[in-house]
Amino acid sequence: MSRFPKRVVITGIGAVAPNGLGIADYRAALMAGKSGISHHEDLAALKFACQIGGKPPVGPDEAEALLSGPDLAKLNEAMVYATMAAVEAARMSGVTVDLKKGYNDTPVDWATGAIIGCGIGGMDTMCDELGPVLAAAADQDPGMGVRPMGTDIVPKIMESSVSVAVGKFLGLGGQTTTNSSACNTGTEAIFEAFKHIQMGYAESMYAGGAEGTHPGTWSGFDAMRDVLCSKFNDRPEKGSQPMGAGACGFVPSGGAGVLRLETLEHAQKRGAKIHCEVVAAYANSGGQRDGGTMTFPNPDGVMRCIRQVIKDGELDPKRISLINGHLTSTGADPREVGSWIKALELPLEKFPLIQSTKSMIGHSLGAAGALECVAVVDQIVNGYVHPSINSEEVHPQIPIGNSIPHQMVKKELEYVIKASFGFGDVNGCVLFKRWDGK
Amino acid sequence: MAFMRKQAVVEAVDINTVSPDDAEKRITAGVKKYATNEANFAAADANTPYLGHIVGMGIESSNLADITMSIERQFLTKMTTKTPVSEGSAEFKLTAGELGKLRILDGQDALAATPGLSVKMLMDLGHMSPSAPYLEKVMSFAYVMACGDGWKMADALKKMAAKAEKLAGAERAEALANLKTLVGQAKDYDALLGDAAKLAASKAKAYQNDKGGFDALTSELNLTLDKIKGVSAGGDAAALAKLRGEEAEIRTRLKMSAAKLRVSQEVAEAAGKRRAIEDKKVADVRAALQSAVSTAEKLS
Repeated sequence: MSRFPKRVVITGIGAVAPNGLGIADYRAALMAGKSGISHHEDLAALKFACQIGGKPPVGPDEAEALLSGPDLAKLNEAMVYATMAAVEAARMSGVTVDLKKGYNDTPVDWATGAIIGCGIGGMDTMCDELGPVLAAAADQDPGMGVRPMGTDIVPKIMESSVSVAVGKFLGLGGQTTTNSSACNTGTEAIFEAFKHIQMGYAESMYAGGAEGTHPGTWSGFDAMRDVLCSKFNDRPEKGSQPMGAGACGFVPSGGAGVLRLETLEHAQKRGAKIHCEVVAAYANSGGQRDGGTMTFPNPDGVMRCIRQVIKDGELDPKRISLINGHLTSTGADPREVGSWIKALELPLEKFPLIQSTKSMIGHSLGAAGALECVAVVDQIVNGYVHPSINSEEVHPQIPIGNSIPHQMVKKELEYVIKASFGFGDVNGCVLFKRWDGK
Repeated sequence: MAFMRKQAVVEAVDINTVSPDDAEKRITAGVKKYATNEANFAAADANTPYLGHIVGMGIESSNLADITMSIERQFLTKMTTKTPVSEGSAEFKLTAGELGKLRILDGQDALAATPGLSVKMLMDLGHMSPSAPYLEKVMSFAYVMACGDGWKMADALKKMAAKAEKLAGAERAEALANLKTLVGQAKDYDALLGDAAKLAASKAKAYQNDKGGFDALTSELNLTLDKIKGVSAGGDAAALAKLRGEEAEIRTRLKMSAAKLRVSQEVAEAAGKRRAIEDKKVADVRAALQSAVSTAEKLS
């Protein structure tokens, strides 16, 4: 079945996505092909070329429904999203969590850790809290320079802020850390958690990624020109067109996705409901050679990453029901599809369905892989394939147009493979399998 | 701050135009955003500790500096003129001057563990006029600490008893043995709280230990300063640099030791003086300790 000694299953998922807060809303949006992309006045005011983006439907009401005011004051935007998604995953896996009632007295879960990644963390804190105080520091009295920042700055700008928040609220006693590999972060977190469990360091891990939506996070991409989509400011929901003929750059977004991975034995012992299995996972790099650069993946690296997962899963590629690609709505989409074709070595007419969740939620950077893995798990559990919207006219260099679902399809999925790629020529891939009860 | 509602900006007021009770209310309101125990915060009075989750407001120790800054933002004072502590000293104190921003200098807030003690600090530093009737209802720092230790012990005992109750076999036996030790400690502490003289003696002993440490560091500093004098005359730059490094390290340790000593001195001096307000708080925590002991003893 797989070369790994332990069977690892998913017992909980949580989502904070631009088109849905919580799994029920996320599923409904995915099934309906509902875009979470909208026009943002703050981006227009800052004269961004791309003025559209995907912001999760979270405001003070939603945040306060989960967390008390003093706790919220200690969190940056990505930490709030990570906490929301992790708490949902924990509850789905059978853990009772009521953060407003108090969490300091709940026992430490020594068997469980967390790897929650973030691409560019704490930008809201850096720009809105740290920046103004730093700018005014020179005019303060001696010794008073940066004191007005208060004491909560460091925990909100440290890279590990997202995993620290999850570890604190869920009382995790296993390794709790943050990974960061640009847009591969979320998928890499799942690989890291899978590896951690396989090595016997934990029975269970929360894994995923979170990203804020501050304009500062998106500004560098906007400055790059042609990386972000700037031609659909008047039709935001059409902006993200992965595999589409009109793809002109990705649409930035944010949010969080968290999955709970456990050994099969641990899940069964707890009596947790099993949603699906993680058969194999892998991450590598293309070395920024042979076509691979800071911003483009080496196609050989991508292919090797996908093939390694298939090999480790001891899988005949014919059994793959669905590919959830990285597919960002840039000029790299045809190259990615080419890598999938080469890696799977299947006749084009037998190529599995291929989709891009980013067509609806945009590119949530460090959260992308995790939100897409959450979508994969939900599709496996509920037997559907969400549409890849805005690609009715397929890019002319993509030869498997018939494999792209433009409407939701009801379908039992056996194996689903998901890959992510990130700046720095880094790749990640995870193979999921339906849980058949044995 | 992500998803925080906009809060009304509180204008700073001249501290001498507000009563101690109003100052206390403003101080308490100012720390609301750091208080993670909402129930205790809602019921907070002059003697509710900022820190701690059992009877405190649940503010984390990492936020102590925020409490002080919050107080600074609330009030204006006439104690604004910087005056050297002694002639030629780089350290300064604040003396009477023009009405301006309140500044609480390093270490001045060491004993401000409750809103009442914060008001007392402002009085002690000369920002506010002292008010004997107000201070009568403010529990001393010594008893805030002593009662806090009692609450923590009672809580630990309750939790350990609840855990032991669920265990069986060897695990239960081990837990009960640990519980027995903790029961003994709780009984001793209950007795200590019940006798102000004993408590004072115990705190005086702790103070003497801290004082011994402080004196030893002072001697070490003097010795190093003597060596520096000697080496300076000889002109050995490397040896001088090494000694200067040692001096800086000792001064840092001395500063920390002095802060600790100030706290333990206050505790030692106040532990023997028990007033009605402290009697009541001590009675509450003793009742909690005795109840926890009784529950634990039923188990074993």
